[in-house]
Amino acid sequence: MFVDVTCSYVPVEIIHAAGFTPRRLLPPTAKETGLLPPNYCSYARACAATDDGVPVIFTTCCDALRRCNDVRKARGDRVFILDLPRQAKDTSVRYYRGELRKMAQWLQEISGRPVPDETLQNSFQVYQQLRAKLKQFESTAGINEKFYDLLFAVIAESPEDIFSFFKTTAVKPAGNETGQKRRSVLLAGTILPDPGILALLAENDAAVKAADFCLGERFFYLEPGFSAPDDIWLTLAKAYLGKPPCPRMAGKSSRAFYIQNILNRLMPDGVIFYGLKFCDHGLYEVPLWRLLCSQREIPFLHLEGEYLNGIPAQLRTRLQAFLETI
Amino acid sequence: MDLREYIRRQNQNNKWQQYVTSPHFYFFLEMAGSLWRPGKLNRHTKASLLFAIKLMRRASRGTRPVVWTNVYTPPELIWAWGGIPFMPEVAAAVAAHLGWSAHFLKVAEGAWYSTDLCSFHRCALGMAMEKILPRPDLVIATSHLCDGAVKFLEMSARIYDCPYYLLPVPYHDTPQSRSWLAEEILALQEELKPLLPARPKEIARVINNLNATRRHMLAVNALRKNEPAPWRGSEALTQVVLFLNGLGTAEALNFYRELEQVLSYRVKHGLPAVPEQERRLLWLHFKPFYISPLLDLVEIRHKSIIAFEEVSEVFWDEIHPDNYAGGIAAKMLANPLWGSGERRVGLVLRLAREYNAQGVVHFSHWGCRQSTGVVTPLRDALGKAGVPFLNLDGDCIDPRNFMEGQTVTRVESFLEMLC
Repeated sequence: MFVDVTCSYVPVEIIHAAGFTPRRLLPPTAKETGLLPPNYCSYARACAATDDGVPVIFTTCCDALRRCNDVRKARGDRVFILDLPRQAKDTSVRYYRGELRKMAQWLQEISGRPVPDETLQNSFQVYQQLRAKLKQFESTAGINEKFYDLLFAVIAESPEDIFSFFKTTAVKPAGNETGQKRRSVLLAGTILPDPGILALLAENDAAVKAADFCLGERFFYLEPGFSAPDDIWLTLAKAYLGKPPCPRMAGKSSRAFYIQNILNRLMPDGVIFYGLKFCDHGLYEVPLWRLLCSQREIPFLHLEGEYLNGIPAQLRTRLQAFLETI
Repeated sequence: MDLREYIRRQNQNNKWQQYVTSPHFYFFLEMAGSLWRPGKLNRHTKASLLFAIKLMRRASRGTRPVVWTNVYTPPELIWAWGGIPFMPEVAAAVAAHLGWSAHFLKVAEGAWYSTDLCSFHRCALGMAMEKILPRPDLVIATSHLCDGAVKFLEMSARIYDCPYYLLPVPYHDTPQSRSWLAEEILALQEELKPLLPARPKEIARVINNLNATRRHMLAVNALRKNEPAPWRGSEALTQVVLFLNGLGTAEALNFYRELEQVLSYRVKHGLPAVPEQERRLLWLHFKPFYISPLLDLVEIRHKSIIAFEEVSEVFWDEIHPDNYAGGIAAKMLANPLWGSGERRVGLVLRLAREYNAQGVVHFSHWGCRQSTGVVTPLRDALGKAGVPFLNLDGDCIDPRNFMEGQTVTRVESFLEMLC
């Protein structure tokens, strides 16, 4: 049985340990249902329109998804909202630990099965191995459409099935069909509106150096810099709050340091911020990216798209024009 | 010459920037304001005006640390710590009222802040970029009520190169989250001690002011249940500025004391706020703060008084000075606009009943996701309760987003339906 999650800060290990298959909620394109206003991000609208009976764990990550939770709760769906801190300081980690216990309690109410520490420890190990595999796959095959196909499979299947996929699939190194020097771009945003952009970049001889999305780097770079073997909950809380921050994080865990680091480390030829329309977190980040890129003389492009709505011709033209300049 | 016309001309000459950043300007305004002798029914307006001018004078002088914060952060917290709370969102509302908001919005948009963002925040950012607001010594954001506030304050701290702190507010209101938040408040107080040396005497004074103000606010809200309504909702929505920024001060206490007396007098002598009141409405969210005919159209032309507005609700209990952090934590978490949408729906149903509202209007401010996202549950719940509901799209700050014809048609159709 699946349990859907809407945010990369939800520890999928707990869902797995509770006997469910965690799945990232990626519903089809948003339909106009009138449940949420039209000037809401299309991902939240799509999540509100979904009605497949699968329990969903929302987080307090943004206003749109909080309200999506309200709408679905009012409709009688099985939903849980996980209170997600915006900082990774010690008090926040302890608070988040408590919230994770509440989430486990909710899962137990559905499954009738508790989440013992040992099972959770095992699930943690399983997902850490999976993340290591993904990193390996990414470094060999590069960030392209195939990688995202795999990533989408990872977030929709049980880890055991994915391991069997890794065993049977040979990873090919990223090719350079044209033989030309490829321009490197850093792709960033909140959630990736449409993976079609990866194919478009490849068509235009651009290599994606990093994909800073919640279904990208921010999903599988989970380094537990701290481990309390006797308290796996605390370890998980710390690891998740300490992962590469998403644009909602604030204060000392804010994105400014992270963006500076990623730019200094990769020094891409160009940066493309590909965000969802009406996503406040993304929109507030655009001026920051622009500033930090201009300080490093890195060309910057801001594109807006709708969730799983393809790549419109206008966006295609803008992207091609941008790539010609770098 | 009309004051607004004068301001518009000064605006063109860019002289206004000099004025609004000068404490002398506010000193003279305060002197002039104190000479004003309002009539018996307007004394509260004078109290409110003087508070706003005094706030700007003190913040411009910089003798006490100026703390930028977001609306619904309890201002009494900053007053009690010895700082001057300054809410740029409130400044944006004032700018809109003076006809300046379009300029600041353009400034922010020129710096790549999208027009899809909340115009309160964009306008405030434009003002911050033009450096016409009192310079913050530090910025404290709270994570309730909306995402935009956290982000725009972070950007403001970057613009002014000053420290930024975030007070995290739990989503659920439970005894555990209250004590956790209280600890966070005390930890922040400790961290800010070098700049804001909170003194117990000052804390007690501010909390006592807050409690006394609360009692007058409750009395005011009780008086507003009278029919015909003694106070116009459009005016209450303007004065909410004081409620947001001034709680804990002697000026706010004075304002609500005066207001209670004025409303008691009106009720006792049968002096309604608007002579003809055929319908009573409950207003949700804020109003357009720029000059617009909307609320006069509703309250005067269509004789539909805004009997109450959700933002004026007193949702917190008295706070004991000895446990002020616990009391303020409880106040923040009790805010019905924060947390699950169910709480807001419950509040609206209760207010509609208590104030005998024949209709409910939700002013859906462009870019306010936290508020507009509850419209569907609100519509459903009010529908079940048999209370007509209008979701009115608009913008509180950006006059460019006000479609007069369309808005008026929708409002008129709704009010006709209530007949």
